[in-house]
Amino acid sequence: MNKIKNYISENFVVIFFAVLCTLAYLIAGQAPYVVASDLINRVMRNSIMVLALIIPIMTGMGLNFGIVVGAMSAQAALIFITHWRLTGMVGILVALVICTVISIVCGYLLGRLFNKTRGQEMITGMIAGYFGQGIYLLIFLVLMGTVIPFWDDQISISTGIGVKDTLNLIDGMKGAMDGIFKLHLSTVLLIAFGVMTACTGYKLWKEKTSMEKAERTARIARWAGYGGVLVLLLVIPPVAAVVKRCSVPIVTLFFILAVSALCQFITKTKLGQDFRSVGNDIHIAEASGIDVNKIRILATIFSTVLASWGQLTFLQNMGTFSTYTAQQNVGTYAIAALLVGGATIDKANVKQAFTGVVLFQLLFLLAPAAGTKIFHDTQVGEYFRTVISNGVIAVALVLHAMNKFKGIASEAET
Amino acid sequence: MKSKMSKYIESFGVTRIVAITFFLAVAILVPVLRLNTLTLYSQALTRMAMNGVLVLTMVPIMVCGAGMNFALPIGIICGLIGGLISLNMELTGFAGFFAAIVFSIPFALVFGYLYGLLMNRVKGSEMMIATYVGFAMISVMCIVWLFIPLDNLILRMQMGRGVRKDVVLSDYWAKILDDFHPIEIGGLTIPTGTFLFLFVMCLLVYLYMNSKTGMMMRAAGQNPGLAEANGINVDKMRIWGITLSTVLGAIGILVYAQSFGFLQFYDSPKMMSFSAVAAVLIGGASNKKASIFNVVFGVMVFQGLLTLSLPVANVILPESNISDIVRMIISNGIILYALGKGSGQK
Repeated sequence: MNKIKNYISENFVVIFFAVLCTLAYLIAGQAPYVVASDLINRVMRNSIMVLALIIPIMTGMGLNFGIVVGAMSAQAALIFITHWRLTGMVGILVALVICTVISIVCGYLLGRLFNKTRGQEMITGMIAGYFGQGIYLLIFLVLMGTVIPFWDDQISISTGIGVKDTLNLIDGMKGAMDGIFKLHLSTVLLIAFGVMTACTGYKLWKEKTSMEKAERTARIARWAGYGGVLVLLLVIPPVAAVVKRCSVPIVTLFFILAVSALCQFITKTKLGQDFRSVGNDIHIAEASGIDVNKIRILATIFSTVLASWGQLTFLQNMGTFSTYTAQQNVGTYAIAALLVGGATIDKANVKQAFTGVVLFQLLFLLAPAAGTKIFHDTQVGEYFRTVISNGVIAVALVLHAMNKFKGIASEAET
Repeated sequence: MKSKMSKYIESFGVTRIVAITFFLAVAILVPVLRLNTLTLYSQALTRMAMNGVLVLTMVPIMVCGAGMNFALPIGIICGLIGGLISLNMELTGFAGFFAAIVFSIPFALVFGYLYGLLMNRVKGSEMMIATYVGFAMISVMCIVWLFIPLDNLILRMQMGRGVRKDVVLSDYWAKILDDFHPIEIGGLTIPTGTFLFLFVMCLLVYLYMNSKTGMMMRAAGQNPGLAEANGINVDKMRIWGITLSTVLGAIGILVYAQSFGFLQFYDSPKMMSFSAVAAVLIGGASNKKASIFNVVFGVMVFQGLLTLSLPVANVILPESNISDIVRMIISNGIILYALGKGSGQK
């Protein structure tokens, strides 16, 4: 009984949002296939941006509102690609290289700034994001065509100064990464289960002597559990119909998996340990000879680069974006998604990122329809989305600051 | 000599120098480019006066040690509620305007007090939390505005429920202060009433900040530990400062609205705090110090720059919104600079 209580209190946020999503689904009454395929699409295009937040949290810098800067690097890269008329895989690769370079530079500058404003990284990141947007606007709206020679009949404004406010990626670039190879969701699930079977089998075989019996049974039970769920998914007719029809962009999926593996892997390296010791206690880390400033800059660069990849994945999926506003809500939505997954301001992992993306995007997708059903007003649902995203962040910040303040106060008393 | 010079620049702030230089440049360029100088200068004066009270909200909150007031939207929302009540009663002229202020103050006191309580529990992270509490309040109010029952047709949306996005004040109290005995000097119009109102508010805040309570507030902000040892209730002082800021925010938006001619609901107030913060910083305020002079000087330079840069930019680069870009870069640049100065490497 106590165990269940603990589980609920530990996962309160996730359970709360899962219930909210279920309610919204029941009220909205949308076709399951539409919801499922839209959700897959949304999860695919939003995951990397959320993963970008993990490393700064580990390093004790809190939620990195500065990922907006990374997003703008990707947009800049896409403007170049469109200008050069590059398409397909070549386009994606060149864009990746360009946005990585730009975001390394921006991340370095952002990291320097964070070092100057220790303890206020979040507000700094946010204001730096706005400042960066000003610079971005200045470059692409004013300097392009005046100081920087630039003319392109498809993307320039007719006066010759600046880039148009909506940028359509040329044919062959929309979904360039998604479209390479697609498989049905059912196939993907079967392959995933196959991989899991192999892994479990290998682990059991390799550690047959060292592993305890209880753990062995737990592993087998988990494997069987997933298998059961999979069989149910494929057998129950209405669900099976959805699972068989939905398709998954494999290359994007691999990209996301690679990034999350990188995030996991880095925690096990020396660099990852440095990240964590800086996050645990900055003074102890400094005393033990870690170059704290350098580590923090590295963490910021890492986050900014991932954010630019995230925005690239997002935009190639959308195919068209508004040049000057596409980056605006990126930070808020990614951060809210991570927090919905149960992360806090000093702890986050890959699993929370994925749980968060799924729940948050599901709610996002259902809220307008559910709002319309209840209030006969489309706007309520729209505003409800912003309430959720801003509200989640505000509550998380308040709770975190209260705990921190309490900690300081009790330390002062003793 | 050189080191003295660079030290002076350092203490004055590079971004401030940039902002002031820009302001002087556009102010001189306006007549040079043969633009309609007097009209533009009049516009600039109006903008300064209408934003004054919103910037003044920064004084108590920064002095009491709660950092820059990024939660200005809370005060603004209280002002909007007051305006809404006054308009719904169809009060016009001065009665309408002052009724709006009177109605908004109780809300501002309550919200300000609650917000102060919250800020006392999150010492050290006030600014970030203020920003997001402000954003969250705005988005919650977006839904509230949709459901408020209203009698006055000028407020109500056509579908029969909820507040309009922009409420036109022209039949009620638009320009009520601006047109109060405006002074005309050969084409240059000075909105006397708004300046007078701003002056009175500044005087009141000045007197308050120099009263015994104000002194205690200053002590609480400068050195909380020492103040506590001297028997000052720091938490209470902070709540007072924050509440006062919220009340000023409510009044500030009403002054802004009468000059602008619209009451703007929903998302519109979201980014207003950033301009106000930037203005007071350009005026020379730092994290814990803000004076009336900082407010008046800052709002003059910042709003003057914004108003005058648009026509100048339009001559040099037609059809660009460079004015907006300048606002983003300068206001956020100066906030970043202040953040860097404020916390530093400890």
